[in-house]
Amino acid sequence: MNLFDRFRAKFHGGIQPVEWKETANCPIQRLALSEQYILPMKQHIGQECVPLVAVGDRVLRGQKVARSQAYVHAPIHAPTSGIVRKIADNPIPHPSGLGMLSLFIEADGLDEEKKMPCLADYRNIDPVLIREQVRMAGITGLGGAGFPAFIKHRRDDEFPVHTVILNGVECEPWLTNDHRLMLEHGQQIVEGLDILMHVVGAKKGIIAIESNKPDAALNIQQCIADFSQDMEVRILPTRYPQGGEKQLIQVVTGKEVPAGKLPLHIGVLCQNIGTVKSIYDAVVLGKSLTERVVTISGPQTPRRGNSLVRIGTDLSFILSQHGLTDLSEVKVIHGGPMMGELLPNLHVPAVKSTTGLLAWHTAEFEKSHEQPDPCIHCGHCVQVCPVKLVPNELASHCKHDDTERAQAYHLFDCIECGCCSYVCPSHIPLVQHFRYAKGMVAQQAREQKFSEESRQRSEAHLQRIEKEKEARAARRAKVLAKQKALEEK
Amino acid sequence: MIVDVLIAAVVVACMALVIAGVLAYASKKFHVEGDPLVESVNDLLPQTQCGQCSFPGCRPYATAVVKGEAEVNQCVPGGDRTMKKIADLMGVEASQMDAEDLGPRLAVIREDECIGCTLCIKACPVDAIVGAAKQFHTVIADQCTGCDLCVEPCPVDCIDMVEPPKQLAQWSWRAVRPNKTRQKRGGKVET
Repeated sequence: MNLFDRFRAKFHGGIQPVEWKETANCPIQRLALSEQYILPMKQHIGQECVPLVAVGDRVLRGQKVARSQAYVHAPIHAPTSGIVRKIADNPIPHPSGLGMLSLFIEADGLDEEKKMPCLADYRNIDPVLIREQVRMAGITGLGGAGFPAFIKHRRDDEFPVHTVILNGVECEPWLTNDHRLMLEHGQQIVEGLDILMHVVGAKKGIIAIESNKPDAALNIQQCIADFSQDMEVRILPTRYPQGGEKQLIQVVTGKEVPAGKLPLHIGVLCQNIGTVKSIYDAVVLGKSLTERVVTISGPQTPRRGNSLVRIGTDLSFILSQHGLTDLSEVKVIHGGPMMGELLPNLHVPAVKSTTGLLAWHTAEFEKSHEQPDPCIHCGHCVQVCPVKLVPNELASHCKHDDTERAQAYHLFDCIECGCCSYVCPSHIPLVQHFRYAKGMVAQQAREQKFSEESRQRSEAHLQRIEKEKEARAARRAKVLAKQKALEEK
Repeated sequence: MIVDVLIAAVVVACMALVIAGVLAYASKKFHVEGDPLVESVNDLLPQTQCGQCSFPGCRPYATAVVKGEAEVNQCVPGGDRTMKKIADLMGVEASQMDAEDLGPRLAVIREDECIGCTLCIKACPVDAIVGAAKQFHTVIADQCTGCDLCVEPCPVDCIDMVEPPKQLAQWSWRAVRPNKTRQKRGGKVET
């Protein structure tokens, strides 16, 4: 990287939070099998799945148990062998504490597995088949957003993909699961990148790693050296939120993904490290997505580390395996501390997008939430916003429910990274304002749609009544005419 | 001299004739059915058809507002927001709401008690109740506007108005509310 590249390769704003990546030295450990697994029917962006099994059915690990008819969805697979005991509503890891239809699987301890055909010789296999395998394996983006991975693996003649970028940035503090994967499964990740390059027909593969993970970068570099000429490791200066897809693409390629467009439109495919590892598992080993690496950390966790967790494992079980059994005075964040969400209930299952579980003591957690002071217009939030918004202005519009002006200030370009809230000297919860306003806009759109539909139904109702009235009047006129005719006779 | 005056008069008369023709044609061609203002007001209303405004539906209320026969603050389910929008459109001063809104409501029929009289079906302004004579009826929850109009006609009182169940798809973050008590720098607590 020459001096010019260094100058150019930068996204606007960003912060450098304290890292707290103390679990970086903890090897990934397989979590013990639990007795029960709960699978929510939607663990991805897109349509909710429908169960394919019934209560009482025996399922095997890796067996598809739910799917949807829609294009945008990821099927769900049983995490271990066992019996389906119940299909009912159950809370999911979500700040609302609300739930959705879930499958309850009682494990039989045998852990029998059903695999898909292996496509180990993937270079000689049609990319369409490999893409289908990734779709069938139920792989979603494991970085937290949960977008079905196969959708991005499209060969588009209009927008050919020339570069595949692997996101090994892991810029959230505390989280180290991608770091550990790169250290322990470097070979598989590099091979996964090769699969992706073959699927989309890309000529170049870049693995982006932040400078705070030199050991991971070194390991990947060694793996690449005896594998391919078309790949390179790009070491980036540590900065949050560099792991955001659009930010990373800007840093690596120097091109900005325009607002409202996809990376595909500038010929780039970006995929998270964990996702690529599971793509390798699906294509070469024929395994569906039934487990993922989760960082379990936070000041209140006695044994911090990285665990290989089956999807559907109860979070309280995971925490208890790490020594945290008393959950009464504990607040747990699902995901990273910057973008993750506080869980109101810990008896919920781990899902595909569970990147980390961070536990704090309740008192300590509440201490950090100071009362906001008025905005002093210092402009720090403007300096750090990675999408070049004006957070203080935007927040004041959101606060006063002025959704129209908030949208004019590009509310929906906000990626909710939390940089503005982090630097605010007045402790204003800016992101909370933005999330609220986004919800309001969605709510208003729903109301608008509902009232339009109601209006149509009401009009149809009135028309029908009118028609019935006319028909009755016509019938009566007919009868009257008949009577008259009879009388005249 | 008189000829000049006559020529001018004739020219002006001809022009008037031509313009009158164009205007007559335009008024036929671009004729608008109904009052467009009524449409705009109607679009702002929530279309629950509940009649809480004392008019038999949203459009009649919109018509009355435009005619000046009704105040802008009578739409209860629309609440403050709708009232402000209508006041803006009509160019009048926004006032206090007439009555308190109870929030969204949903009608639920206790099906085992329903005798299948079809009276609620007839009362529903948006056709959100299905059923047939002597068969139990049920409410299509997604289409119910919570207008309350089906409750009264039911002879066996088997219709309840309930709070709609919370759904994940409709959940959103709540607003940031300042705490009621606030430590001031001087150490005084302001309430």
